Amino acid sequence: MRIEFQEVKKNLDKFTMGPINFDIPAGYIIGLVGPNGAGKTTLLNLLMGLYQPTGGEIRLDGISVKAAEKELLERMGVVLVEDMSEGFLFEGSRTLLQNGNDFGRYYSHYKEEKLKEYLKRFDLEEQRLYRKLSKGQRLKYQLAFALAHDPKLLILDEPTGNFDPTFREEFFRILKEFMADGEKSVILATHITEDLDRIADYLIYLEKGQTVFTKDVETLRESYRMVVGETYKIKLLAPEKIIHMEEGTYGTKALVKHTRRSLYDKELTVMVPTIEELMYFTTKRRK
Amino acid sequence: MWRWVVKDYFSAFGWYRISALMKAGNWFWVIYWFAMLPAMFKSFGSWEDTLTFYLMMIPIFFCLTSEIFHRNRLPKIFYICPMEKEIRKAYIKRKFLFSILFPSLIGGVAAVALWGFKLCHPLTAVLYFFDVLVISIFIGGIFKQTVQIPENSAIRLESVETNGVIEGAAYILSLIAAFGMYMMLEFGPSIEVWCKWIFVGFAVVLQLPLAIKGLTGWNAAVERALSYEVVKIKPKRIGG
Repeated sequence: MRIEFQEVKKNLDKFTMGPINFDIPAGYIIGLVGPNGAGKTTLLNLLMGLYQPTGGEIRLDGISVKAAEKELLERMGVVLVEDMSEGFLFEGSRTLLQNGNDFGRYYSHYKEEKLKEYLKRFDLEEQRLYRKLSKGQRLKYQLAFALAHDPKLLILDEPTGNFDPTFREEFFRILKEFMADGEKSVILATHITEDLDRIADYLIYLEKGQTVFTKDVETLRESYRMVVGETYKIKLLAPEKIIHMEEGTYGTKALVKHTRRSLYDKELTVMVPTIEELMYFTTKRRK
Repeated sequence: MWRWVVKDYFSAFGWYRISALMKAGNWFWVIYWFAMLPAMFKSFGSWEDTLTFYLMMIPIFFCLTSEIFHRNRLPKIFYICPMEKEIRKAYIKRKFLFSILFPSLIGGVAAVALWGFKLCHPLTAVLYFFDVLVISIFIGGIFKQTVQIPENSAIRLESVETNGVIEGAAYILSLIAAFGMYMMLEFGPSIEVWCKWIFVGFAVVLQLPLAIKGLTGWNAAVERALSYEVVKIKPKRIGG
């Protein structure tokens, strides 16, 4: 599902977001990262039509979110950590299967058999009451329900921190299966950047409601390098290429704009940066 | 849908919400209502007086306070699922209705008990039920439009600043109505029936407009509840 944000702004009580601009074609796993309060959940709420933008336009597959809320919600699968002040997301005293059928009827592509299949795969008993599930299991159930109605866009708001290590592997496998036809998209908001290193194709980095970068991960990796070594050797690089440098006891680390390998002193260690390093050093530079 | 409406209603009385209210110093009002007031009205003189007091005051206390726990909103899944607007509206309307019916039912049970145990004149029991019903409608309607318990205290403060006058007025008027009725019961045996009818007439004249006021803002409140953004972020304002 193609996702377009055109000059999207959102003013909340003490928080202003935007203008946000990006246009991501279908078939990407999009990592949404940023510190607490950066606006990740606000962006997802805008995407789901739960919040209306103060300005600009959001389009999914060319359709304005404002104009076609029901049609677009039907194409979305949502997994989010429950805010207990709002109660359980599904009905606590109904079984997993009952909940699936109660809410699945609002989705034209929902299939009970598919839900059963995922419940089995995720090791969840279909006759179990929703409120009896642990936090991680409730997220697994949300994922099973989302996949059972065959969405084109999967919206995942920080679920992985609550998954056990075994299920995390299964989760990544599922995302890859989900993406297999190249028509679907996933947007994953997370603090765990290692997850994004493994699966993200595109990165949206938010800070204080503004996008620091929105680029595909390959381009980002090609554009930057982590350089480790003696300070004076790093300082020999052109200053405009150094994003940020940090001196430590055992040497200095710097994130630099990369053009060609021959630029670096041969005694410097040059590595492709991780997403965490990209975020950390970019944030430090901005400060 | 009714099943979830009912569960939604009762699950709102979560311990975390009760403890948040109690931390805000509201223990005083609970003690005042259930210990100081009966003492002031000399209701601990006999078991009949004590029973009468609590049978009458527990439902009224419930009416006055239960709406604090109920936010004018749908369960989150209703905003996420691709539902017709009409389904969402139907849910919120049923939720409103139940928030009036349940406290009124408690009042009805208390009225029957008061009558059954011969603790009051039948007319008083009828008037009492009428009181509970009106307070439920009025408080329910006002709270749907004004004060809720949002997620954070900053919004709560803003709500109180904006709507504190209305909230206060609602409470005071309802309390006057409730106490008027209670006093009538206290002095009931010594006054003539025609005098009681004057009380009833007065109560109807005073309270019916309140009930109507409570009902008038409901359509706007339903519309507001349909927007997740409004119920999540914006403090409620009359007509806003």
